Amino acid sequence: MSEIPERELTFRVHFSMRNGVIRSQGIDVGHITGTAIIPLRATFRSFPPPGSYSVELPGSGLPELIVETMGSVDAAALLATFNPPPPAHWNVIPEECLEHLELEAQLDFQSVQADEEWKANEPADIEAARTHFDGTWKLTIPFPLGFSFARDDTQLNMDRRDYELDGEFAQFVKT
Amino acid sequence: MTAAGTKVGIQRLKNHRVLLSISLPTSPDGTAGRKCPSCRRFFKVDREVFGHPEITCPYCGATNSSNQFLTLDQRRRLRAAASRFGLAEMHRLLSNALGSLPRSSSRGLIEISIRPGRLELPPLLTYLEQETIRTSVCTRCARNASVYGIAMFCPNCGKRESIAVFEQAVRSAVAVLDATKSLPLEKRRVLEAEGGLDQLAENVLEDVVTAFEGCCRTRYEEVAGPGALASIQSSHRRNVFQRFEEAVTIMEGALGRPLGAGLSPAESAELKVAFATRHVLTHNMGIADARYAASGGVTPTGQRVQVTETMARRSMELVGRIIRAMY
Repeated sequence: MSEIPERELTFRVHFSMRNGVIRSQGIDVGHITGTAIIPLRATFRSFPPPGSYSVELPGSGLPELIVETMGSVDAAALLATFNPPPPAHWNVIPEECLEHLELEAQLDFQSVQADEEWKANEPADIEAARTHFDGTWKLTIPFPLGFSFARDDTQLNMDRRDYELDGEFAQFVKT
Repeated sequence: MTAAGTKVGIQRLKNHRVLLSISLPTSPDGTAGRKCPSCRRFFKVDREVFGHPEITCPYCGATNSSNQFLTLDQRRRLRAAASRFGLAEMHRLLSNALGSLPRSSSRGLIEISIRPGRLELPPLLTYLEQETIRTSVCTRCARNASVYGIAMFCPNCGKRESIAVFEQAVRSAVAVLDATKSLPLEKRRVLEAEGGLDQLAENVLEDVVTAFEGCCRTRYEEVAGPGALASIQSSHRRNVFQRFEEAVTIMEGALGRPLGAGLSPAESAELKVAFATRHVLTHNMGIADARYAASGGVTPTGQRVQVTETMARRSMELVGRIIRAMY
């Protein structure tokens, strides 16, 4: 593999998530809290010398979102939203049927996390990100559940589940 | 935090298989994250334990293949490395295949031209490991683990250490008691009025007795064997280790030495009352009864026992001394 001209660095914005509602066909089927992280593309480019740090602050949308959840989904309520419903003899509801859910939540800005060298060399970038993301945001994002469940399950435990959510169709607005 | 290198090692194996070696970021203390596939909780281990084929979750004790304990960040980085390799390979194969063709050819209405382009590889994602807050050291194998909650198992040797379980219970109780001190005065007053502080002190006392019982049971089994434990539980009662004096006598018999060095007679009497207090809290809604009175309790029979934070902390200290004397 060829030499990498850019060195990837860490530049992440951390939020706490509250009032998270998981919806299927517009109907509330679960409630979650947790944490959310926006990982920003951040690099050190060595050319032209002496090099430069570059971080891409998002415009109106989101690049992607990493979420860790706490809470639960009401399996029966979720099943009732399916149209058409899965065949009665299916004892396991496949994960592909659970790809069209949506998450709406409030995100409270917590901190900006970056490599020590970034903090030391370009502290203004950290401050700019802090200013940009400060406050409370309303998030609406597609939320594929990512696992199957048994038809007779009642509550689906969402504690400490990790998600990588595609920000392309997300709405992320300051409140 | 220690950044991982950006080099990806590539080893070509038989049958078109490829082994990629990717460095993962670690904390400054050399630990790297793990996430239990069973309870989904996060912890960190040192480099050597990270490389073990099997690992045990310090929280729930689930043992599984090390690969099952990848964190999301680690999975993202490995996936990024794999897709970078895949794209580079594809580019190389296509370049080789098309390189021998003429740069452009035209026949009739169709014209094909080939221009070698620059390959844009996706980034090799990186991350910073979570900060180490508390390190748990296994008394059996001496390995460290960074834990973020009640941890009873060693990720390396998988053992459940009875003394560590007790120390953990004490540490958690002290942390909660201390946390109430840092509450703003107004919130502390509300908590006190709601009974929260009383509840907390009572819970700590109950937890101390439970931890003592569990520790005695495990230690007895370690010293005398599982058969002896079953035998003593059937000849006495299952909860034999909940009675302080009886438990100490049994443990002294099993260890073959007195535990008196741990406590003075006055301190032993103090603990006896604490255990009796816990008993009425658990079984009699906190109302003092004849058994409590016989243990030396000062609350008159029929009245509710009072547990203060001082009593809870003192019980923790005294129980800690007697437990440590068992090892």
